[in-house]
Amino acid sequence: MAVEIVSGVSSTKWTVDSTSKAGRVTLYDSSGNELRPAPTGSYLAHAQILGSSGWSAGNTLFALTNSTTKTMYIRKIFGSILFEGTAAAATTNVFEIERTTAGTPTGGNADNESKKNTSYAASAKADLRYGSAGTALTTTGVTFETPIIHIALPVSSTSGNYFFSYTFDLPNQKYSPFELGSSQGIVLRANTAITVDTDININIEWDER
Amino acid sequence: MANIVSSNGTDKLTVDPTSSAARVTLYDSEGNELNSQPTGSYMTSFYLRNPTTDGLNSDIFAIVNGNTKQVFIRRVWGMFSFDGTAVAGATRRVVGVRLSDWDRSVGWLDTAITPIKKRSSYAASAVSRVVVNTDLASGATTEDTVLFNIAIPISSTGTYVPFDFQFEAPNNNKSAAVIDFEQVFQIRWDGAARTAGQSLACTVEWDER
Repeated sequence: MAVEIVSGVSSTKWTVDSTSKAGRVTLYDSSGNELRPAPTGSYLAHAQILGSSGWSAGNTLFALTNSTTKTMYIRKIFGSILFEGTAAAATTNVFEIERTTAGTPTGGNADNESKKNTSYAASAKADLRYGSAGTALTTTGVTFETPIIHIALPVSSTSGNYFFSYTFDLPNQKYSPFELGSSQGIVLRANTAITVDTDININIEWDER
Repeated sequence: MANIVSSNGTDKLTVDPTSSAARVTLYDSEGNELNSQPTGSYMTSFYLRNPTTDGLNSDIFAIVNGNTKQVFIRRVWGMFSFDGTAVAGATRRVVGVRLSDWDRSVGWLDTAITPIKKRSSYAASAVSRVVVNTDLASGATTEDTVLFNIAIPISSTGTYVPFDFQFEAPNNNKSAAVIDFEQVFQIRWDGAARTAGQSLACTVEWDER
């Protein structure tokens, strides 16, 4: 005998898909939060930041700033640091990544995100930009948190090349991404003075909801 | 038509109206929820270069838990590198350990740093303190467990070893390394030596429940 299963809170009937004959289910945690809600879009940003002039400690080299309409969920940050300059004894170049909680960097090169599916709406970001070849971003009025990631490369010998990759997002884990709320941003900065001819490539992947 | 009713006699299964999918939550057969909501998720990061060659160990980082929540270490990520003067036939080591007992009068009373909340609306972390320094005031008395170790040769300068200890795994609530009430997660230079120029760039990510 066929029995139709009906929701306890509405007249919605449970669906069994016609080809697979599988009943539809959606994962929630016991607090009532859907574990993997659909994003409104998923995006990528990238920059090649050339260090032909070196950088000073505290320089801001890349910035992605959110607007006020959606939350950005950072899924992954990856890239590479390479050093092709003259070896500097007892020296390690260190970059840092952190969230900003107020203000938007200016200057440098404005850029646009890549949509992972061209049918997505444009990102809700407020701004995306990077510095290069000695031109750092201007950070007047920007408030920085303490770093969440340090990326280092010793330059006491030449030709170092380090691929870094930090994946926040894990399947079925709603709370794993790093979040940018209203008007918050994420930046890449020089933690130390950066030796001439140290380049860094950065890529950021995020969802929006 | 029928409703699915809980064994408690009141709660009815919900079928979401748009998807016509029933809500489900993953549990193991022992009744433990998988991927449960933490009270918060946190990160901290540091870069530290050892300045001295003196043949000693030293503690360089510690998360000292309080007595209100468990700390679930999701990940320890970074790079162990060396920019000092090469030492023939030598290797240096870093270890991460859990300590179950320690001397409160001397242990890790250095200036604390504030963990970063992965979502700004989370409550502040419940850990007692997070400290980082080239030579922390350690109060270790009982070493419970070595959680990881990393080694690097210093027989040439400019060497580096990236590492990524991803403890957390989806759908597995026993995967994280747990720091219980008043336990300590500590990172230290290990072995009977430390050499000027050995450096650690490190990010630690954890949930609290």
